[in-house]
Amino acid sequence: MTPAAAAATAPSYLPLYVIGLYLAVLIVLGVASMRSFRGTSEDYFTATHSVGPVLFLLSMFATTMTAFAMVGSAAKAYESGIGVYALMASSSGLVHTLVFFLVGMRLWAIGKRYRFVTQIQFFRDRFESRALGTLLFPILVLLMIPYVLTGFIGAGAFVQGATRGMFPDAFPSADPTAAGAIPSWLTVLVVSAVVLLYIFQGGVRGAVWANAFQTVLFLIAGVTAMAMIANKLGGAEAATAAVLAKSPSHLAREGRIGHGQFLSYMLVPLSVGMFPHIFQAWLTAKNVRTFRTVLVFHPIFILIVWMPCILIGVWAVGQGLPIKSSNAVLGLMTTKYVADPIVRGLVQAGTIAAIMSMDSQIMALGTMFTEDVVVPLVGAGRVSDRAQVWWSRAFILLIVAVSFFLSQHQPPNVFDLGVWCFSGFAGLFPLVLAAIYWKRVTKAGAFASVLAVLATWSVLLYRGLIGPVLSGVAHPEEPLVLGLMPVAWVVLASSLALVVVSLATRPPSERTLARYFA
Amino acid sequence: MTSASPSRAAPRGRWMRVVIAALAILHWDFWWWDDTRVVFGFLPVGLAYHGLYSIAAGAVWALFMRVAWPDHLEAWASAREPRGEP
Repeated sequence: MTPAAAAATAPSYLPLYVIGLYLAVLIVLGVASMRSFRGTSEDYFTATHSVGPVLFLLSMFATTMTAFAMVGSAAKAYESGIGVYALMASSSGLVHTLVFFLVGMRLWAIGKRYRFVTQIQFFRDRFESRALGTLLFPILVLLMIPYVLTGFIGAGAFVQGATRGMFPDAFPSADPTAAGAIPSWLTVLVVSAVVLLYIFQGGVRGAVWANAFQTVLFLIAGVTAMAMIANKLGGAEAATAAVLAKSPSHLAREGRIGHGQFLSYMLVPLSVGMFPHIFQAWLTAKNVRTFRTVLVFHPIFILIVWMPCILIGVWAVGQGLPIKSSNAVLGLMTTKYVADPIVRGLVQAGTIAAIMSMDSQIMALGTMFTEDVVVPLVGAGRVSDRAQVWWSRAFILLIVAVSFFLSQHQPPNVFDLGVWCFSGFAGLFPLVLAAIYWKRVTKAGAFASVLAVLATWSVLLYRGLIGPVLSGVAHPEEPLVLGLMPVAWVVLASSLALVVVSLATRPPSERTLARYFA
Repeated sequence: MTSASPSRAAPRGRWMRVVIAALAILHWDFWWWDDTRVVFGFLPVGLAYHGLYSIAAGAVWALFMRVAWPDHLEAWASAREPRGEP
């Protein structure tokens, strides 16, 4: 090969510089947000209820959309076709906003009035039980770790796909899909370091600012990537025609998604009602009117992010690319078909932005540990604001270390792992709904509901994911039970336990009813 | 106490419940299930329907805000009280 030919085929490193610039901006935002820090733990954990409508919309969107939305949606569409949009995106447009309205706005009011910082504080007060909080904390952490993992796995797979062949000397590999690519562990290490830096600097305000910036970036990234990939494939018509010729079933749902599966998927987005990080994000709102922009624009933002990713995932089927892990589809498609290196860098930075919005999840876990474990153990008033912030940082570090370790093992599909995590949280949704609207719900009913979720979710997770993976199945089938997704059975068990046990036990005290229903 | 509790619905909320329920039912578009036709030359019809569905969801909330907004929440939240955990 002549030097000129070698130069023409050499990979461009410009996209990596653009990604580096994006990471630097995040650190600057973290430092800048620290200037607004008021020095109290309430400000570190809730931004003192000061976030206005536009910033709230942008940060809330990034908080709900993570690696699952971009890397996961493209990967799942590559496997299951266009029906993935209906399974999670359009259903979330309705269900998320309904939960924001029925639960989020109410919890914002309750949190502001009674100065709650975590959802466990609310449940302890509403159900007159410290033990309920003690039971909920490890369960919420257990359910959150897979969600944080989706971010790590998504980042690792995406960057590996996007940098394939760039560093043949530094990262040689016999596996052609990983040869010369930045390995997943290095990506996860860098991403974790940057997230920790801006969270430690600015607390939840740092996460809000970073999330707003990330939303803007990945809204642009998805649409730009779709347009440029379509252009390279000879137009969107040609890209879709190639799929129609190769695998027409990817353009419909027959044979790929069952009706029972489709209907039961509608329950999965209920999970937003019980996510600790969403609860914390709700509390940052300045007033109840702040929620208006989220209700109207959240479904439309979902459309802007998900539609391009679904089409890119489906179009990859028509191109017959050598793909080992579907998680790498988006990275591969952008690397292969987005020609301009700077635009490619922007698109890839936008995708990483979606992945990195796991920051709020990590932040929420740190907050819960401080407020629900450290403060109750040591005693309210005996832990200074400064010490609370440091306890939070220590726990965040531990969670990131555990997630990093777990992400280095054979990762499952990001989408499927996310759905398992959401199913557990969705199972807890009847609890929060009843806590707000049903006077008759009791402490015993709440315990029964949480334990029912733990039991059904654990059994179904083992049956559907852990068991098959341990026995060497690389890609477990959809874990349907009688044609329905596991979430349907978890929600059913949780609701039944809640209602039956509540009706059979003593109602809450008049004092509690007066606090929440008078 | 000067305002109603968070669990209280806004006046005229009943009509909006019907609209939301109708939207939820329309999500199950079984009539496009095996249809591989494309619209605008590239968009599978099942995907186009759900794209429009997302826009409709935003529009319904815009309507909701005009007719059934729970204004009472703001006043209730402003009366700050001690945390009062057990």
